[in-house]
Amino acid sequence: MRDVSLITLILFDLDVPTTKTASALTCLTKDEVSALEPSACINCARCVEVCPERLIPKNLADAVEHNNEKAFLDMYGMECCECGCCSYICPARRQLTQLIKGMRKIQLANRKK
Amino acid sequence: MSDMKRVSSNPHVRANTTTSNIMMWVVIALLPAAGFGIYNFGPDALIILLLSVASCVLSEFIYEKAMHKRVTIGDLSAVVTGLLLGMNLPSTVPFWVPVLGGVFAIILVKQLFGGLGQNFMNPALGGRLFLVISFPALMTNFVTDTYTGATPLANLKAGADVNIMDMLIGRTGGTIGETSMLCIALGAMILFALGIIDYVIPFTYIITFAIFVGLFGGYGFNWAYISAHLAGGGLMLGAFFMATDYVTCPITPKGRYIYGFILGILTGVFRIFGSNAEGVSYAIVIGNLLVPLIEKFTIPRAFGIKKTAKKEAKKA
Repeated sequence: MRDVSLITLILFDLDVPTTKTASALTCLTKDEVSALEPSACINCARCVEVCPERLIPKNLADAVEHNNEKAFLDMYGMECCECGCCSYICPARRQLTQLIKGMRKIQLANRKK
Repeated sequence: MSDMKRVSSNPHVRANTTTSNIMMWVVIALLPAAGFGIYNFGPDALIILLLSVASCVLSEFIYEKAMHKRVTIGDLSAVVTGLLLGMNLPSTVPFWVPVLGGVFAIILVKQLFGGLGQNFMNPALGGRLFLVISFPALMTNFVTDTYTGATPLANLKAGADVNIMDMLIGRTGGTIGETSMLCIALGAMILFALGIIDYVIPFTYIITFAIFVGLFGGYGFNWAYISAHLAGGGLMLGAFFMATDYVTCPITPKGRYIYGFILGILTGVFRIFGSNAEGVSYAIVIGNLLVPLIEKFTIPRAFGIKKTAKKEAKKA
């Protein structure tokens, strides 16, 4: 259970075909989502310790929540590789990767214009 | 597929550590020192600890109910605050003191600023300093049935001899939780072993303070004098349990060294040049207030960003 891939896609339906490019299928045995309700950040710095890009995921996610694009870019938010380590380790169960990913998509879309 | 499924973003598997079990381990790590305090100062100490924990948990519960917020007493952070506050009180205080301190710590220092994670200073220390400033006579009365004299630190400041062995075991006067170095070290080792606190802040703090005392204490690098300063007062409790409080310490790796260094210097200044024998609480609270500034200047350079690029980015 502990050595599954961090970055997985959700199968919304059992009819989704499995192709040879899928390296693993993960089945959750219980309702993990409701067990993962986010709570307040306690500033424990675990996300900073695990981040392979030496970012501060907590501050980036805060910037996204406040819709502060400048702070996000100043703190090298675009360097994030979306590995999911910060979300995995977070004891407050914050959706750090999800928040950062969302902001990165917006930024990339703006760049293309 | 008629039933609704709950869908979340990846990663779907999370680490087992949660806020409440981190807090639970902190409580467990504080128990040896608290237990020794009760053994040392008698049943009054137990009542003070219980009152302080109860008032913190209750005031958090009542405030959150009254404000229609999610009740978060389950994360045990109020228990940690209450226990730390109780351990920072002398065993001779009247029983309304821990209650008042707990209400102040939780409501004024923590909840009014947005609850867990948003408080700008350590709630337990905020509560303690409020009590020290308001009731100085009560808060510095360390005379009990067992100990009639001043605390070792006050003796040290007055130039009297102190017994290091007693200070190590904890058979001295002082606040409930600060006397026993051995019990505090035991608790700190639990937290180190579980990776809950890191080495940087406490050791930078203690080493800086030791060097400062050696330089400005007036006795040079005298082993006995420096170790008496290290073992005396709230330094060990402060360094391992309060300076490392997650919410009020810097999140950046470099910032932690700076924070520990500032705490060491401030504690040294307060203890040696100040009128009080104690200085740890003030140093940590002032350190807490500097944290946003420290964090602002120590944002780490992301992987792959050139050193010069950082300066240009700032100019732009």
